[in-house]
Amino acid sequence: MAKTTKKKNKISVFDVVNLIAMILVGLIMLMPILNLAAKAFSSEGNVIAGKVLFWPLGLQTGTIKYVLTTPEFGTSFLVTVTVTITGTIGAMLLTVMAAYPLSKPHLIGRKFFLYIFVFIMLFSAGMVPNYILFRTLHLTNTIFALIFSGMFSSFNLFLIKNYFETLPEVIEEAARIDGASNMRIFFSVVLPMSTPVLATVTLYYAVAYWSNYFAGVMYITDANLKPLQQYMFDLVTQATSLQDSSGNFGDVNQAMNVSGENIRAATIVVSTIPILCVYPFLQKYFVKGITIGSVKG
Amino acid sequence: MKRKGGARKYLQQNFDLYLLLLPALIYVFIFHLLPMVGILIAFKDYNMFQVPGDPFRSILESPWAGFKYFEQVFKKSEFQQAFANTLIISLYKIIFTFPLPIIFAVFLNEVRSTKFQKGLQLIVYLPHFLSWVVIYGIFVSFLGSTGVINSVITSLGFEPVSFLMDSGKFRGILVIADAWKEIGWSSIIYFAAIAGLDQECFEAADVDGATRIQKIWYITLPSLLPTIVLMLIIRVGNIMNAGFDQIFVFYNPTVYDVADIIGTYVYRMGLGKLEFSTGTAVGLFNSVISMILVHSSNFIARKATGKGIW
Amino acid sequence: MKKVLSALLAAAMILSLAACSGGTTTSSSSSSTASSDSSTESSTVSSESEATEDDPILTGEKPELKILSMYQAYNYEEQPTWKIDEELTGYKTKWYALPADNADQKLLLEISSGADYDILLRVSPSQYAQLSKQNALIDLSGMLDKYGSNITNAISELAWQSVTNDQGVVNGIPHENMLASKEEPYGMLTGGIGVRSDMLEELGMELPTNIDDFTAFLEAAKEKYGFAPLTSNKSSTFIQVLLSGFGMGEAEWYDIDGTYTHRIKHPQITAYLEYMQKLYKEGLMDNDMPINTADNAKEKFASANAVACAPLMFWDIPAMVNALATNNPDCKIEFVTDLAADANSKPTHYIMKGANFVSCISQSSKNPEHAINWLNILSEPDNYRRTYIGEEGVSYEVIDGNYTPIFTGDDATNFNAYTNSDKLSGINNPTVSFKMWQARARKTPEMAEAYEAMNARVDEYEPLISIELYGKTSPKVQEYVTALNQAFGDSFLKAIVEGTDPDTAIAAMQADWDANGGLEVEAAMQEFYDANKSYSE
Repeated sequence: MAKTTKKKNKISVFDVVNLIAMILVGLIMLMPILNLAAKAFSSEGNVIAGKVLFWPLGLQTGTIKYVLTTPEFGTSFLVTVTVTITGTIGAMLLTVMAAYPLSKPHLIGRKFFLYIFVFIMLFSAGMVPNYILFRTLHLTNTIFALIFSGMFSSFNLFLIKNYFETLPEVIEEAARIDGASNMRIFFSVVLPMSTPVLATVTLYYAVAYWSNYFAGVMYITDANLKPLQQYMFDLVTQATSLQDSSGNFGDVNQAMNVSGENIRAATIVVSTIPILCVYPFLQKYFVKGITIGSVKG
Repeated sequence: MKRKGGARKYLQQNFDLYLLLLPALIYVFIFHLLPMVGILIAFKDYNMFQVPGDPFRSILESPWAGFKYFEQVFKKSEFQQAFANTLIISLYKIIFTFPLPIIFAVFLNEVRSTKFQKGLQLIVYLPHFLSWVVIYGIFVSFLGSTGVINSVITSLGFEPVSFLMDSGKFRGILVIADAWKEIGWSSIIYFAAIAGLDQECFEAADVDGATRIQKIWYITLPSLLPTIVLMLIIRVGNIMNAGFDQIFVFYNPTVYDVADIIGTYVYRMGLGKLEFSTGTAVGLFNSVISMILVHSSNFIARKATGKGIW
Repeated sequence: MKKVLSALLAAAMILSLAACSGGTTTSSSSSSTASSDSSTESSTVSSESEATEDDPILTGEKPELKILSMYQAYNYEEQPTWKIDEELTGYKTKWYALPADNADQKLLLEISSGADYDILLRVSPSQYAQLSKQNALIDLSGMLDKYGSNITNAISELAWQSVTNDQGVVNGIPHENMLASKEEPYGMLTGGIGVRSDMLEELGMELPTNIDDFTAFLEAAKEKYGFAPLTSNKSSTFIQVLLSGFGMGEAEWYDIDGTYTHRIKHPQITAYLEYMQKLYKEGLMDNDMPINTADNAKEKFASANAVACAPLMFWDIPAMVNALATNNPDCKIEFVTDLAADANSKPTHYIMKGANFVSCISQSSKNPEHAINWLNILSEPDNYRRTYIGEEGVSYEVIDGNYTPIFTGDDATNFNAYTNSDKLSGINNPTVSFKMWQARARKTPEMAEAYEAMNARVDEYEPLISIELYGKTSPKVQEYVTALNQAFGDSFLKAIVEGTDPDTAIAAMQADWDANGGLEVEAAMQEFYDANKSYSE
């Protein structure tokens, strides 16, 4: 035992090369975000002149303050936070509950149910029928439209189901022999052993809700319910295309009020940071060896 | 062991499992299956105002058009080009970008410091959150004729390369941009899978004196296999989605021949026309192809690894 | 025990699904179903009788109006003008906005399923054409006679014609573009190709005014600096400033011996292509043009990696001045405006008459008369001024007949409060509101200076009127023209980059145009032009 630990601590060429490669990958991924953040804190002139790379020039916090105090940003931010939290909880309940029975090979009708979930993954009705449905249910222009849209993903179901299937059968069997019911096994044995996949899927749902742009476009016309993604789209993407075409004849008033590059950068930064904070919290559930702990407990 | 007692006993033992399944089934029925009636639009001359104020009856009562809209789209020569481009770009993306997150996750796992691992995970998934419009702006300033890459190329005495306007290179750029954006995000699932691995196996291997590469090859990768198979089947099923959002932002008329996919082509063709029937027909076509591919890959997976996704 | 728990859990999920969808029913459903028939009924009743003193619409209780308008990044109800609107009209208003993306589909979906917006404010002409074609809109003529005198007075005859169909039914209210006129062209130039003053000085050249001078200027700049002097972005295939050197301009349709001709068949289009190919091939124009975003182009210009940038508008000035200052604090931006064909001819500039927006009322509106009344009150000239630029002495002042903004005092009442007011104001004579709009052009001293400097040359120009925008609203044109223009623009850009023989390239584009509905579009435009020619004189 002592020997193996010693061997583990020796740093090999592989370690060095691997570490350097990883640092390089990290830098490449980090650059654009640094660039955006630097732009958000730089003076507009430096941003437009393309001088800002990874460090703010003409440091100022006015742009960020301006974005944060824009009432539309605040409204959309609250909408998206609410939708993300409630939606993720609902989606996790639906998915995890469905994944457990489907991971049981003996369940009669399992294939049929699984096939339904495969089917909805491949076929989608499209924009018009979905709109009609939401309208018929009187969900349009309510926050529930944003919550119910995307509250289930077959892909996530399969991820969890797959994971459940890899759990060692013996533990469940042992619990069953002890007289535990399906439910008790599900809650006290299966779920605690599955934290890595549960954390992953929570992240998937949370990010999907946070970046769901289409639901707002489809079901919302009330600006008080406009999700953050749509606000960002209007401010960033639409501004970019308006700017591109500002030489052609169009709505001059609109063209004049297009937000500047630094405001766009700041908006992206402040509307992305909150969702970035979810992953670090979930990371602690990516724990090795939890299997062993759960057997004993 | 479970089915011995007949139907009654089976139900008694398992009805709670069905209850667990029920909410998802209800949701899926309401929000996914019910609207499927709307696929009829693809076979009709859909007029939204057929029955004013009642869009659902408008679908039912619009006149039948048979396969008119399918023919209309498929007959065009540009469509065949777009179809081919869709498949080619998608295949490139699968071949080159599918393995990257796995490799990345495995090698990151080999880094000694857990803190470093966690920190790097947080960095590499950042690009996923940027929209293609923003990424395009960055790529242009890097790849433009006066961009960083070309500055290096010209200072070495070569001619500048127009990456984004060269049909020979454009698909490569699409793949690279896509890989860069999504590696970190796609690797999360593999981190989670690796985190769930049984540590005892590794310790046993250590005792046997296995090398790092041997441990990766004989322990880590095989235990990732179910996840990899699932991801691959789903990715293959997604083949008709070659990345509309990305291409729509990245492409320009000089590379239409290699970059115009079904989505972008239908978009340009339908400009100003609001053809819901065409859109639905194309969507249905894509879904059918996906279904065939998912079935075949699931079949292959079952033969090869003994386990498909359903 | 656990089985009970799971049953409860499942039941709770189902209940919450049902509750959420059911709970909202009470709040939003009451309106949609009952509305469609009642509205048509009330509209016919009201148009029969003359407006009287005790007309309930004018004197009775005012309902809250539901307004559906175009997308904005801002919330209409957060704008100071929203409150002013309420004070002036006495109507409470709830604003809704279409998305920026898929707006056409969304609008059709909403209206076809009977959404009860009282007025569809500022939809695009193509959206209007779609709704009108589907008979989804009500006839406004009677209501306008009764409640819309300010609206009818403000709008030109040509604009009315564009929303009147063969049976004399008026389905929409056009919002005419604020414009200079032939008699008073001052202010019609709003931008062009921006040129760095420091480099212009170094080159010792004057600002070019015709196409030959411009070429010479680019060649000299290329010679001196080595880089491509003119940068532009991916949507600048047709640069108006250069087109005018070839007898074209901002307009797409031209009267060639009585035939209303699209740019694609203009006799000089080949020459223009050849010219662009020359700029591109000789490196006079940035070879990244097809991939540049506006930001990329501006960056090159501001960082002194280009001498000129197309297009640049006067409203880019404040930001650009700051950007230029990072390199050279003394550098200013001069504007090359529409060029003449040669030193002996007069340059032309098109004044594009048209209505970028149309307001209309759907069959399912519950308060059509109130909506018209509301818009009419806002269109009263004094009210218009109040909502659009505010109060004299508080948010603006008139100096030498020019509207000038005031930025001192509280941001809630000074000119800053009116930044987005254009989308919350009524309808006004486009020439009058153009003068008010100029207050916006004088927002900063640099902006005002640039705007005035370019318009100082306005007398050298021959202003031409184009009425094509009204012709383009016809359904026949709408069906094809967007896709056709896209295809034309794409092929043209490709021809510039690839240097295809201009004659062959243009012939191919024309053949493509003819095969894909171009002939139908031409016929419809010709018909429109023959009927309305007189308005372009």
